[in-house]
Amino acid sequence: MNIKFQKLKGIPSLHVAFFWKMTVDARSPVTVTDRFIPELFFDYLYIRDGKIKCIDEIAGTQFTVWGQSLRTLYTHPVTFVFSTPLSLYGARLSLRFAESFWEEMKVNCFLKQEWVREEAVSLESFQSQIAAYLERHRVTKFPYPMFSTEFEESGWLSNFSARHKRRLYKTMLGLSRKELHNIQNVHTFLEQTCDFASQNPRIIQHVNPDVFYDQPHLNHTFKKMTGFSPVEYFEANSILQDTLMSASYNEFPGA
Amino acid sequence: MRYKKSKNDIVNEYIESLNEDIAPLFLDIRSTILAAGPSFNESIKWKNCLVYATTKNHIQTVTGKGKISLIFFDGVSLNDKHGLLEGDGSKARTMRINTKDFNKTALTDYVKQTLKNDS
Repeated sequence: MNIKFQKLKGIPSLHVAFFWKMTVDARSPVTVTDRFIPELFFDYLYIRDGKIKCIDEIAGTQFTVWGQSLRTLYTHPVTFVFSTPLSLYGARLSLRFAESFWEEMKVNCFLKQEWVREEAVSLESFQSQIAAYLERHRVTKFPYPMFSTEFEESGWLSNFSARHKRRLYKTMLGLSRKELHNIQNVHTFLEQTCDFASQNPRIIQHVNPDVFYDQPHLNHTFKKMTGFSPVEYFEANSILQDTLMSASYNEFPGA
Repeated sequence: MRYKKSKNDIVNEYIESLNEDIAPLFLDIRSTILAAGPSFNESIKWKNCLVYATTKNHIQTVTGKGKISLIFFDGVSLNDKHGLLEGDGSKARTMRINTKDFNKTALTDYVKQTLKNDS
Protein backbone atom coordinates (compact mmCIF):
# COMPACT_ATOMS: atom_id res chain seq x y z
CA MET A 1 0.00 0.00 0.00
CA ASN A 2 1.37 3.36 -1.03
CA ILE A 3 0.24 6.39 0.96
CA LYS A 4 1.09 9.95 0.03
CA PHE A 5 0.18 13.00 2.07
CA GLN A 6 0.65 16.59 0.92
CA LYS A 7 -0.02 19.75 2.85
CA LEU A 8 -0.39 23.43 1.99
CA LYS A 9 -0.47 26.37 4.38
CA GLY A 10 -3.91 27.53 5.42
CA ILE A 11 -5.55 30.94 5.24
CA PRO A 12 -6.00 32.31 8.77
CA SER A 13 -8.43 35.05 7.72
CA LEU A 14 -10.79 32.35 6.42
CA HIS A 15 -10.12 30.11 9.44
CA VAL A 16 -8.52 27.41 7.30
CA ALA A 17 -5.71 25.81 9.30
CA PHE A 18 -4.26 23.99 6.30
CA PHE A 19 -5.15 22.23 3.08
CA TRP A 20 -4.17 18.63 2.44
CA LYS A 21 -4.35 15.83 -0.05
CA MET A 22 -4.03 12.13 0.64
CA THR A 23 -3.73 9.39 -1.95
CA VAL A 24 -3.77 5.71 -1.15
CA ASP A 25 -2.85 3.17 -3.82
CA ALA A 26 -2.41 -0.55 -3.66
CA ARG A 27 -1.54 -3.20 -6.24
CA SER A 28 -5.03 -4.59 -5.96
CA PRO A 29 -8.08 -2.80 -4.56
CA VAL A 30 -8.22 -2.97 -0.77
CA THR A 31 -10.27 -1.41 1.97
CA VAL A 32 -8.57 0.52 4.73
CA THR A 33 -10.17 1.19 8.08
CA ASP A 34 -9.47 4.41 9.92
CA ARG A 35 -10.76 5.31 13.35
CA PHE A 36 -11.76 8.94 13.83
CA ILE A 37 -11.97 10.46 17.28
CA PRO A 38 -13.53 13.81 18.20
CA GLU A 39 -11.42 16.90 17.50
CA LEU A 40 -11.96 20.62 17.80
CA PHE A 41 -11.74 21.12 14.05
CA PHE A 42 -14.10 20.92 11.12
CA ASP A 43 -12.97 19.12 7.98
CA TYR A 44 -14.07 19.86 4.47
CA LEU A 45 -13.71 16.67 2.44
CA TYR A 46 -13.58 16.37 -1.33
CA ILE A 47 -13.37 12.80 -2.58
CA ARG A 48 -11.93 12.91 -6.06
CA ASP A 49 -11.46 9.17 -6.54
CA GLY A 50 -12.61 6.27 -4.41
CA LYS A 51 -15.26 5.96 -1.76
CA ILE A 52 -15.50 6.46 1.97
CA LYS A 53 -18.00 4.67 4.12
CA CYS A 54 -18.65 6.05 7.57
CA ILE A 55 -19.73 3.68 10.33
CA ASP A 56 -21.18 5.37 13.37
CA GLU A 57 -21.64 2.64 15.96
CA ILE A 58 -22.94 4.99 18.63
CA ALA A 59 -25.71 6.32 16.39
CA GLY A 60 -26.16 2.86 14.84
CA THR A 61 -25.80 4.18 11.28
CA GLN A 62 -23.52 3.66 8.32
CA PHE A 63 -23.50 5.65 5.13
CA THR A 64 -21.37 6.56 2.14
CA VAL A 65 -19.80 9.98 2.62
CA TRP A 66 -20.88 12.54 0.00
CA GLY A 67 -18.41 13.47 -2.69
CA GLN A 68 -18.08 16.84 -0.96
CA SER A 69 -19.07 17.40 2.63
CA LEU A 70 -18.30 19.28 5.79
CA ARG A 71 -17.55 17.05 8.76
CA THR A 72 -18.94 18.83 11.78
CA LEU A 73 -17.76 18.36 15.36
CA TYR A 74 -18.20 14.86 16.73
CA THR A 75 -18.62 13.84 20.35
CA HIS A 76 -17.91 10.16 19.76
CA PRO A 77 -15.67 8.08 17.51
CA VAL A 78 -16.61 6.92 14.02
CA THR A 79 -14.94 4.50 11.66
CA PHE A 80 -14.03 5.36 8.09
CA VAL A 81 -13.63 2.62 5.52
CA PHE A 82 -11.66 3.78 2.48
CA SER A 83 -11.61 1.90 -0.78
CA THR A 84 -8.53 2.21 -2.95
CA PRO A 85 -7.41 3.82 -5.13
CA LEU A 86 -8.33 6.87 -3.08
CA SER A 87 -7.68 10.50 -3.84
CA LEU A 88 -8.96 12.71 -1.08
CA TYR A 89 -8.60 16.46 -0.60
CA GLY A 90 -9.37 18.31 2.58
CA ALA A 91 -9.39 21.65 4.31
CA ARG A 92 -9.04 21.68 8.07
CA LEU A 93 -11.08 24.48 9.59
CA SER A 94 -10.68 25.93 13.05
CA LEU A 95 -13.50 26.39 15.56
CA ARG A 96 -13.82 30.02 14.52
CA PHE A 97 -15.05 28.87 11.14
CA ALA A 98 -18.41 28.20 12.81
CA GLU A 99 -18.77 31.92 13.44
CA SER A 100 -18.70 32.60 9.71
CA PHE A 101 -20.60 29.54 8.48
CA TRP A 102 -23.68 30.55 6.50
CA GLU A 103 -25.83 27.52 7.35
CA GLU A 104 -27.12 26.11 10.60
CA MET A 105 -24.26 24.25 12.31
CA LYS A 106 -25.14 20.72 13.36
CA VAL A 107 -23.16 18.18 15.31
CA ASN A 108 -22.12 14.55 14.71
CA CYS A 109 -22.79 14.63 10.98
CA PHE A 110 -21.53 15.35 7.49
CA LEU A 111 -23.22 18.26 5.78
CA LYS A 112 -23.48 17.91 2.03
CA GLN A 113 -21.72 20.84 0.34
CA GLU A 114 -20.36 21.84 -3.05
CA TRP A 115 -17.54 24.27 -2.55
CA VAL A 116 -15.44 22.84 -5.37
CA ARG A 117 -17.14 23.53 -8.69
CA GLU A 118 -14.45 22.44 -11.14
CA GLU A 119 -12.57 19.20 -10.74
CA ALA A 120 -9.51 19.81 -8.59
CA VAL A 121 -6.46 18.62 -10.48
CA SER A 122 -3.99 19.67 -7.80
CA LEU A 123 -3.89 20.77 -4.20
CA GLU A 124 -3.33 24.35 -5.36
CA SER A 125 -6.47 24.26 -7.49
CA PHE A 126 -8.43 22.82 -4.55
CA GLN A 127 -7.04 25.55 -2.29
CA SER A 128 -7.98 28.38 -4.63
CA GLN A 129 -11.52 27.09 -5.17
CA ILE A 130 -12.14 26.64 -1.45
CA ALA A 131 -10.75 30.06 -0.66
CA ALA A 132 -12.89 31.72 -3.33
CA TYR A 133 -16.03 29.94 -2.12
CA LEU A 134 -15.44 30.82 1.52
CA GLU A 135 -14.71 34.42 0.62
CA ARG A 136 -18.02 34.69 -1.25
CA HIS A 137 -20.24 32.95 1.29
CA ARG A 138 -18.94 33.67 4.76
CA VAL A 139 -21.05 35.73 7.11
CA THR A 140 -20.27 37.56 10.32
CA LYS A 141 -22.39 36.27 13.15
CA PHE A 142 -20.62 38.17 15.92
CA PRO A 143 -18.65 41.39 15.96
CA TYR A 144 -15.91 39.71 18.01
CA PRO A 145 -14.61 36.14 18.18
CA MET A 146 -16.03 33.78 20.81
CA PHE A 147 -12.62 32.39 21.73
CA SER A 148 -9.10 33.59 22.01
CA THR A 149 -6.40 31.58 20.26
CA GLU A 150 -5.81 29.69 23.52
CA PHE A 151 -9.44 28.56 23.55
CA GLU A 152 -10.31 31.01 26.31
CA GLU A 153 -13.77 32.50 26.18
CA SER A 154 -13.68 36.08 24.98
CA GLY A 155 -14.33 38.86 27.45
CA TRP A 156 -17.43 40.15 25.69
CA LEU A 157 -19.28 36.98 26.74
CA SER A 158 -18.74 37.66 30.42
CA ASN A 159 -21.99 39.58 30.76
CA PHE A 160 -24.06 36.81 29.25
CA SER A 161 -26.11 34.66 31.58
CA ALA A 162 -25.24 30.96 31.87
CA ARG A 163 -28.44 30.07 30.03
CA HIS A 164 -27.76 32.55 27.26
CA LYS A 165 -24.24 31.18 26.84
CA ARG A 166 -25.48 27.61 26.69
CA ARG A 167 -27.83 28.55 23.88
CA LEU A 168 -25.09 30.45 22.13
CA TYR A 169 -22.72 27.48 22.19
CA LYS A 170 -25.42 25.10 20.99
CA THR A 171 -26.42 27.41 18.15
CA MET A 172 -22.89 28.19 17.10
CA LEU A 173 -21.11 24.86 17.48
CA GLY A 174 -23.79 22.34 18.32
CA LEU A 175 -21.93 21.44 21.53
CA SER A 176 -21.86 22.68 25.09
CA ARG A 177 -18.73 24.25 26.54
CA LYS A 178 -18.29 21.21 28.76
CA GLU A 179 -18.33 18.89 25.75
CA LEU A 180 -15.78 21.09 24.00
CA HIS A 181 -13.55 20.94 27.08
CA ASN A 182 -13.83 17.17 27.27
CA ILE A 183 -12.55 16.93 23.70
CA GLN A 184 -9.79 19.40 24.39
CA ASN A 185 -8.70 17.52 27.53
CA VAL A 186 -8.21 14.27 25.64
CA HIS A 187 -6.08 16.07 23.07
CA THR A 188 -4.05 17.75 25.75
CA PHE A 189 -3.09 14.24 26.81
CA LEU A 190 -2.47 12.99 23.25
CA GLU A 191 -0.39 16.01 22.36
CA GLN A 192 2.36 14.90 24.68
CA THR A 193 5.22 12.87 23.31
CA CYS A 194 4.46 9.74 25.21
CA ASP A 195 7.46 7.49 25.61
CA PHE A 196 5.86 4.26 26.74
CA ALA A 197 9.24 2.76 26.49
CA SER A 198 11.26 0.42 28.58
CA GLN A 199 8.79 -1.17 30.92
CA ASN A 200 5.05 -1.32 31.17
CA PRO A 201 3.45 1.81 29.78
CA ARG A 202 3.38 4.38 32.55
CA ILE A 203 0.31 6.33 31.58
CA ILE A 204 0.14 7.90 35.01
CA GLN A 205 3.31 9.89 34.30
CA HIS A 206 1.52 11.62 31.44
CA VAL A 207 -1.68 12.48 33.28
CA ASN A 208 -1.92 16.21 33.79
CA PRO A 209 -3.48 16.81 37.22
CA ASP A 210 -4.90 20.13 36.04
CA VAL A 211 -6.98 18.27 33.48
CA PHE A 212 -7.68 14.83 34.96
CA TYR A 213 -8.04 13.98 38.65
CA ASP A 214 -6.29 10.64 38.25
CA GLN A 215 -5.68 7.87 35.74
CA PRO A 216 -9.18 6.30 36.06
CA HIS A 217 -10.63 9.72 35.25
CA LEU A 218 -8.45 9.90 32.14
CA ASN A 219 -9.27 6.31 31.17
CA HIS A 220 -13.00 6.88 31.51
CA THR A 221 -13.04 10.09 29.47
CA PHE A 222 -10.63 8.66 26.94
CA LYS A 223 -12.65 5.50 26.39
CA LYS A 224 -15.86 7.43 26.02
CA MET A 225 -14.28 9.74 23.47
CA THR A 226 -12.23 7.28 21.43
CA GLY A 227 -13.62 3.82 22.14
CA PHE A 228 -10.11 2.74 23.21
CA SER A 229 -8.06 2.70 26.36
CA PRO A 230 -4.99 4.98 26.07
CA VAL A 231 -2.62 2.06 25.46
CA GLU A 232 -4.91 0.47 22.87
CA TYR A 233 -5.16 3.81 21.16
CA PHE A 234 -1.39 4.27 20.89
CA GLU A 235 -1.04 0.86 19.28
CA ALA A 236 -3.85 1.31 16.78
CA ASN A 237 -3.01 2.65 13.37
CA SER A 238 -4.96 5.45 11.80
CA ILE A 239 -3.70 6.60 8.45
CA LEU A 240 -5.49 9.87 8.03
CA GLN A 241 -6.45 11.13 11.42
CA ASP A 242 -3.09 10.69 13.10
CA THR A 243 -1.51 12.75 10.34
CA LEU A 244 -4.17 15.45 10.55
CA MET A 245 -3.90 15.56 14.32
CA SER A 246 -0.15 15.90 14.35
CA ALA A 247 -0.32 18.63 11.70
CA SER A 248 -2.96 20.43 13.76
CA TYR A 249 -0.96 20.16 16.98
CA ASN A 250 2.00 21.70 15.21
CA GLU A 251 -0.06 24.43 13.52
CA PHE A 252 -1.89 25.30 16.73
CA PRO A 253 0.25 24.29 19.70
CA GLY A 254 -2.03 23.81 22.67
CA ALA A 255 -5.18 23.93 20.56
CA MET B 1 19.99 18.72 5.32
CA ARG B 2 20.15 15.98 2.69
CA TYR B 3 17.87 13.00 3.03
CA LYS B 4 15.42 10.94 1.03
CA LYS B 5 12.17 12.88 1.12
CA SER B 6 9.16 11.14 2.56
CA LYS B 7 5.90 10.86 0.65
CA ASN B 8 4.33 12.45 3.69
CA ASP B 9 4.86 16.24 3.88
CA ILE B 10 4.36 16.22 7.64
CA VAL B 11 7.31 13.84 8.00
CA ASN B 12 9.51 16.14 5.92
CA GLU B 13 8.47 19.11 8.07
CA TYR B 14 9.30 17.10 11.17
CA ILE B 15 12.75 16.14 9.88
CA GLU B 16 13.51 19.74 8.91
CA SER B 17 12.62 20.82 12.45
CA LEU B 18 15.00 18.38 14.17
CA ASN B 19 17.93 19.77 16.14
CA GLU B 20 21.24 19.59 14.35
CA ASP B 21 22.77 17.51 17.13
CA ILE B 22 20.27 14.68 16.73
CA ALA B 23 19.31 14.94 13.05
CA PRO B 24 22.26 12.93 11.57
CA LEU B 25 21.61 10.02 13.93
CA PHE B 26 17.88 10.22 13.28
CA LEU B 27 18.41 10.12 9.50
CA ASP B 28 20.86 7.25 9.78
CA ILE B 29 18.34 5.21 11.76
CA ARG B 30 15.54 6.15 9.37
CA SER B 31 17.49 5.06 6.31
CA THR B 32 18.39 1.75 8.00
CA ILE B 33 14.76 1.08 8.87
CA LEU B 34 13.46 1.98 5.42
CA ALA B 35 16.14 -0.10 3.72
CA ALA B 36 15.11 -3.12 5.77
CA GLY B 37 11.41 -2.37 5.52
CA PRO B 38 10.64 -0.54 2.27
CA SER B 39 6.94 -1.32 2.66
CA PHE B 40 6.66 0.87 5.75
CA ASN B 41 4.60 4.02 5.58
CA GLU B 42 5.92 6.86 7.69
CA SER B 43 3.72 9.25 9.59
CA ILE B 44 3.97 11.61 12.50
CA LYS B 45 1.70 10.86 15.39
CA TRP B 46 0.85 12.72 18.54
CA LYS B 47 2.83 15.76 17.48
CA ASN B 48 6.37 14.45 17.68
CA CYS B 49 6.71 10.73 17.10
CA LEU B 50 7.70 9.28 13.77
CA VAL B 51 5.87 5.99 13.37
CA TYR B 52 6.57 3.26 10.85
CA ALA B 53 3.41 1.38 10.03
CA THR B 54 1.81 -1.03 7.62
CA THR B 55 -1.83 -1.67 8.38
CA LYS B 56 -0.89 -1.22 12.03
CA ASN B 57 1.74 0.69 13.95
CA HIS B 58 5.05 -1.14 14.30
CA ILE B 59 7.87 1.14 15.36
CA GLN B 60 7.71 4.47 17.12
CA THR B 61 10.69 6.80 17.20
CA VAL B 62 11.12 9.04 20.20
CA THR B 63 13.94 11.56 20.11
CA GLY B 64 15.61 12.70 23.30
CA LYS B 65 18.76 14.59 24.18
CA GLY B 66 21.52 12.83 22.28
CA LYS B 67 19.58 9.57 22.00
CA ILE B 68 16.78 8.00 20.06
CA SER B 69 14.47 5.30 21.33
CA LEU B 70 12.81 2.91 18.95
CA ILE B 71 9.72 1.33 20.44
CA PHE B 72 8.70 -1.91 18.79
CA PHE B 73 5.03 -2.17 19.64
CA ASP B 74 5.06 -5.94 19.32
CA GLY B 75 8.66 -6.29 20.44
CA VAL B 76 7.89 -9.26 22.65
CA SER B 77 7.45 -11.39 19.52
CA LEU B 78 10.97 -10.62 18.25
CA ASN B 79 13.81 -13.09 18.66
CA ASP B 80 16.37 -10.86 20.38
CA LYS B 81 19.60 -12.64 19.59
CA HIS B 82 21.48 -9.32 19.71
CA GLY B 83 20.33 -8.56 23.24
CA LEU B 84 19.57 -4.90 22.53
CA LEU B 85 15.88 -4.79 23.33
CA GLU B 86 14.89 -3.45 26.71
CA GLY B 87 11.67 -3.73 28.61
CA ASP B 88 9.59 -6.17 30.56
CA GLY B 89 6.10 -5.14 29.48
CA SER B 90 3.58 -7.48 27.98
CA LYS B 91 4.13 -6.27 24.39
CA ALA B 92 6.48 -3.35 23.68
CA ARG B 93 10.27 -3.47 23.63
CA THR B 94 12.68 -0.57 23.18
CA MET B 95 15.99 -0.24 21.41
CA ARG B 96 17.96 2.78 22.59
CA ILE B 97 20.50 4.33 20.28
CA ASN B 98 22.90 7.10 21.22
CA THR B 99 25.78 6.75 18.79
CA LYS B 100 26.28 6.79 15.04
CA ASP B 101 28.08 3.46 15.41
CA PHE B 102 24.92 1.68 16.45
CA ASN B 103 24.34 -1.95 15.52
CA LYS B 104 22.73 -1.66 12.10
CA THR B 105 22.71 -5.41 11.62
CA ALA B 106 20.60 -5.79 14.74
CA LEU B 107 18.20 -3.03 13.74
CA THR B 108 17.83 -4.49 10.26
CA ASP B 109 17.12 -7.89 11.80
CA TYR B 110 14.47 -6.49 14.17
CA VAL B 111 12.76 -4.63 11.33
CA LYS B 112 12.72 -7.68 9.07
CA GLN B 113 11.36 -9.84 11.86
CA THR B 114 8.68 -7.24 12.55
CA LEU B 115 7.52 -7.29 8.95
CA LYS B 116 7.71 -11.08 8.77
CA ASN B 117 5.51 -11.39 11.84
CA ASP B 118 3.08 -8.90 10.28
CA SER B 119 2.56 -10.89 7.09
